[in-house]
Amino acid sequence: MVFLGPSTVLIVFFYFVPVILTFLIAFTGMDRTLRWEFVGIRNFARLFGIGARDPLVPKVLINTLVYTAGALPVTIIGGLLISILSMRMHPRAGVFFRALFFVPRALPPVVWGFLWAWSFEGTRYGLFNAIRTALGLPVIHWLIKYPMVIVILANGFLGISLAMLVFSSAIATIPRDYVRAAEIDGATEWQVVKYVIIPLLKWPILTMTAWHLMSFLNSYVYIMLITGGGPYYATEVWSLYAYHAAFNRYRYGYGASLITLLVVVNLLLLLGVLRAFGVKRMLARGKIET
Amino acid sequence: MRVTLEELCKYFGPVKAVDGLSLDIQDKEFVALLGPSGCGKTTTLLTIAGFYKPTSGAVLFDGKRVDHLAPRERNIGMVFQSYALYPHMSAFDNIAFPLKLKGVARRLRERKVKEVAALLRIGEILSRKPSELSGGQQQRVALARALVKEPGLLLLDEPLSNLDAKLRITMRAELKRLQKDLGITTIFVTHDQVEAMTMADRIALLNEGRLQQVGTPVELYRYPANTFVAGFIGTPPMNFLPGRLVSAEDKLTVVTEHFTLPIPARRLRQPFPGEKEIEVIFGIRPEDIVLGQGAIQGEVYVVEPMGKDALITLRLGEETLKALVSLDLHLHVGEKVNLNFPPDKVHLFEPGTGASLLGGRRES
Repeated sequence: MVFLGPSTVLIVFFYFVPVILTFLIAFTGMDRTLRWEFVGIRNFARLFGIGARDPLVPKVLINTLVYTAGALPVTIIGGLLISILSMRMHPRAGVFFRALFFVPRALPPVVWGFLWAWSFEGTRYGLFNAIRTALGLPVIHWLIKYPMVIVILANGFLGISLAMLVFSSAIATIPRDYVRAAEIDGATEWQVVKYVIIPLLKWPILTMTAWHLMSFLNSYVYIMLITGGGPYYATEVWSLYAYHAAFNRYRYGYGASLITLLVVVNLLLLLGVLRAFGVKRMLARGKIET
Repeated sequence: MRVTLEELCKYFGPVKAVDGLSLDIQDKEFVALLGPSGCGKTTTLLTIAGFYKPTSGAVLFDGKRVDHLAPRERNIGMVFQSYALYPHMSAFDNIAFPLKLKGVARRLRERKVKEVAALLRIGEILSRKPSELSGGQQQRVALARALVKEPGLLLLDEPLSNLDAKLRITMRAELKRLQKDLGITTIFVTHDQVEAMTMADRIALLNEGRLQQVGTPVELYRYPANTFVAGFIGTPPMNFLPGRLVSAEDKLTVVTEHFTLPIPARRLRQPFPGEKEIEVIFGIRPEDIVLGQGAIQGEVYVVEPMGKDALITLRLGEETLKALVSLDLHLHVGEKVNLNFPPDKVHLFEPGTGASLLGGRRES
């Protein structure tokens, strides 16, 4: 207890206090004057389209869902692909590929974000357009034509770096005899993966899915860095919209209400995940079946 | 299926796991690869299965080289030491898995699984997951999975080592009977000489990657080719004493510090001409020592009753010998006792190579 004390105090001050403050601000019309002017549920009414509705909310909601539904499979399938391939090849080559795909996580977010922004820059100075220009092709305005695909991939690769690491270590614990038995039984490489390896990765896959589901619902940093939410709200996701409301338009009260709703959704998801996994089982021990 | 190993070598870097192994296994034969851990027996099995490529030499099935074939193309059934039952599949699905991969239709699959399950008497437990099965049941499921696709060759890697002692004895007999009934060529890896002796038609005894001797269990027991075979086969192991083999006036005699013993010349592998003597290792099995008669004197040091028999530790001066004799002899610690080594039961080995100096299969 004594040793946990200092960090408990820190968590209370820097986590719970801001959450409570956000929750309170959500019921105010606070703007750049920073006055606490309570307006009841007016912000939430606006959010849900009651009375003076916010016409952007449906678009932002759809963006968020599309973005999450896109980045999640990229992460899980990509992570599985990289980990399975890298664990089945020569050990040194495997380490090399895992290191390569871990790079996004090792980079500072700003670097990773600008790397993508620069690669898909719409003028001939962007990486892909430079290549196209060199080949005599016209430039493509990537970030205007495919903004959602690009932010999904940028975040998906970031997700892959973690998922791949988790899946690889789980694959490493699968006893070699399982794979050998399957090969003797007549399984091709693909059948070994399909019938033996992936079923044995059930728990890591579920964990990573839950983790990244929540992570993508809340993420906005890379989108802000790459497209800024544009063009014309095409990649404006919920948390980025909240950020813009609060810090671009200085409507702190409204921004706080957007965030409060997201926190509620997160809590519900968390409860759902904990129930699905069984809290006790999840906290108990490693979940790789042997 | 006939399996032939030709000068098989498998090296891992500087380690010679298997070194020049030649072995011919007949169709329907039950052969044990026996040896202490690290002797290369599991490496040999995995090479036959196709998981390892031989460094040199060849594996032949029915006279055809199979080195280029993947494990799944070799028509092999295998039971792993860990059983390697897929934990996420029921016993039924485990057994049906090889058939499913072959594309066997569901109905035929079900019939075949039921047949093999009946053969192994596991019909009742097919719906359970491996984690809900006892060790013995898991082993039967693993065996059923190996047999269901009617393989040409069955490989067993220490299949009994995870069972308790009592079950092991039951399964020994059952496996032996099953192998004869099904007539599947079977190669069986074990470190337990009793398992190998009781089950196998022939035993290939390996040590440090090299074949020491191959033959029927009785051959290995009666005519061990060298000191390693002599010491490995038989419980308790053979007694060894340093001595000399002396040839004088056409008579052969073993001379040790404590006794001299005539040896019939016909037992020698090679004639021993003229007058000379050589260093030898004298060997005698505990069960071949006769107590209560003979000219050699020893002292009873320890008596270990084992039911019908007693294991007696004897002292001959500084040397100790183990003798397995009837408990009815009623020997006591400290007692002086006469002993005799029947000349036909004696073994002689060359000290340098350990090779046996005495002849092979001639019955004396």
